[in-house]
Amino acid sequence: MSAHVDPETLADASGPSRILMVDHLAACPACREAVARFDPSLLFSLLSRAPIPERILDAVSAEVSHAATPAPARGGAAWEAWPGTRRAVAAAVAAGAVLTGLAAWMSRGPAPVLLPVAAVPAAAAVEVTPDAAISQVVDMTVGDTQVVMVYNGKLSL
Amino acid sequence: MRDDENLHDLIRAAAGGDRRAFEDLVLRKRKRVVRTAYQIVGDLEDARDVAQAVFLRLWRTLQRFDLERRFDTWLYRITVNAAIDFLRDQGPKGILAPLPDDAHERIAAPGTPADAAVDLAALQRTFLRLAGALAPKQRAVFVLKEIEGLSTAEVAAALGITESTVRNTLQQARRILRDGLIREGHGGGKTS
Repeated sequence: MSAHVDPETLADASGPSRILMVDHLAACPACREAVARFDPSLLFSLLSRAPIPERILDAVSAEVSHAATPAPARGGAAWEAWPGTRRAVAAAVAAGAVLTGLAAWMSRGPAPVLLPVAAVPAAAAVEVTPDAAISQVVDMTVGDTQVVMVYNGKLSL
Repeated sequence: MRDDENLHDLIRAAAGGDRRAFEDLVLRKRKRVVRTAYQIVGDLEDARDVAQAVFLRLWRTLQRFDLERRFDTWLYRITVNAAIDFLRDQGPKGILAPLPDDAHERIAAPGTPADAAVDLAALQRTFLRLAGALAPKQRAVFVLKEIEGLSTAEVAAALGITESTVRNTLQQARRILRDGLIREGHGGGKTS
């Protein structure tokens, strides 16, 4: 290539024409001088030619190849690609859910005591006036916290 | 064109879980990814880590890639984001990373006298020293535009910013680097 690099053109160039200009710049001290006078930061375009050691590139390939286990499985982890594994994991999750529910049911406290209206303890802080509409009072008191549920058939919400 | 078709075939196969195709894709793109990461993080070993993270992310997300888009732009985007995240996680470190032995090679067109070739190792040291003064976005824009040779539109697409932001950011980066170079006695410098 006999033509010299125009620094202004280089500053705006991209693609194949830029590659040619940078190639020329790498071999032509006169052009580098002209570019340096115009804007020395343009000389950094030559770093596209800087060699990367093969050992680094090979390490990238080796590590990626090792870590990218079989089948990316359209968005999922590799194990999802194996139907047998998928079924086993689904069965384990279902069994776990059943066991957890069973354990929670067995360890629950005693069922709430259903008392007739008349049987509400007189000492209760909550007083329920007997009424024909009140069919049931449920005492759910836990420790010092008194909880009483009153069922009133007339109540409309 | 033929290259693009081959690349599309490779991407499609890799996205479908073909490991061999994916390894070929890594082989084709690894130099560009490592080089871009290196110019941003400033250390070759760190660039290697970033590149590995980039390709593993690619492996996990490739099936979502839209073949209508430019693959290289997408890859640059992942690389720059990974490199900037790496810088944020690591915090500032010494700017001068050890250069590989083979970076001391001089490059030149065949038949060029030795004294006409450019000393890339010295240029690389200077860049890493001065680029420490750039903000991550300025550095990313400068690397993609000036070193990787992308067009303004491609840089904008890769970084998810407007073309006018690319132009402004590039001007700022050039000014900082030019001032640094002039301070160190390189080049005359003219405002552009």
